[in-house]
Amino acid sequence: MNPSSTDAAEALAAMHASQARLAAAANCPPERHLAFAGLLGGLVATPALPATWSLVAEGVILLGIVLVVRWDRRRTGMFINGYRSGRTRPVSFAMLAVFLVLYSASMWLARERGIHWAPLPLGAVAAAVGYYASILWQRTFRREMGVGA
Amino acid sequence: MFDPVIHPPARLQIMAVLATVQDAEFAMLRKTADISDSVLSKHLSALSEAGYVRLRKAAQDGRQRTWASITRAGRAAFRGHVAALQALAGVMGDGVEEMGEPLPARA
Repeated sequence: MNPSSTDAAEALAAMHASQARLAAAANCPPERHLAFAGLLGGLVATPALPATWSLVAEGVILLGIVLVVRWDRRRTGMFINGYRSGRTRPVSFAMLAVFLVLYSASMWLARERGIHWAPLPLGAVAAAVGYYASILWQRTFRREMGVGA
Repeated sequence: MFDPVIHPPARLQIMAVLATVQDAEFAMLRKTADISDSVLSKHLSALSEAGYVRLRKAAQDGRQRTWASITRAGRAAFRGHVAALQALAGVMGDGVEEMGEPLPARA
């Protein structure tokens, strides 16, 4: 038997309450935003190093990503994919696009033009973008879950 | 489509959380659904038997913990059920997003 409209409204209200609790539990501390920004900035800055060391640094950064995922799981008891469908996806793709532009510019300037210091300021820009994007993603997620940013 | 497996409020809450996250640990689900251990166990078993939820055990800090994630069939059933509830409740303009999760109802 299908529920009444009142039952349906109550079920939806209970569901939204659980989503709001989820959003509260998923809240990131500032150091989590900083860790993400550091990884992004570091990745863009790696072309400043000689090719071999650049690869080593990228490996260390990839390990850092794994550690951040583990940290999230231990801290919150869950993992939310940054590219999940929903209102946060445009934020993730916009950040990815900016990252790819900065990384490509960093590689081109260091490897093709021989400006080996150029990846460093670009890495700083990527870190700033990453920090802002991480906060924006969280705000968007909280709004999607029906709680204030 | 209305789904009797998902309809109990606690199961709807569990599914709403699992549709949002990649996976979630038992204690976190208990907290967000605001139910007891035994009730959560019962509902997770029912959802797992229906093929809507996948359960796995993983060691953390020397203890076995249960992690749950939604299956493709579970996600489809959840979207259909929420759309049916929204239609019943007369929530207009808050349908299930094409690719995303159900949107919170607006006042």
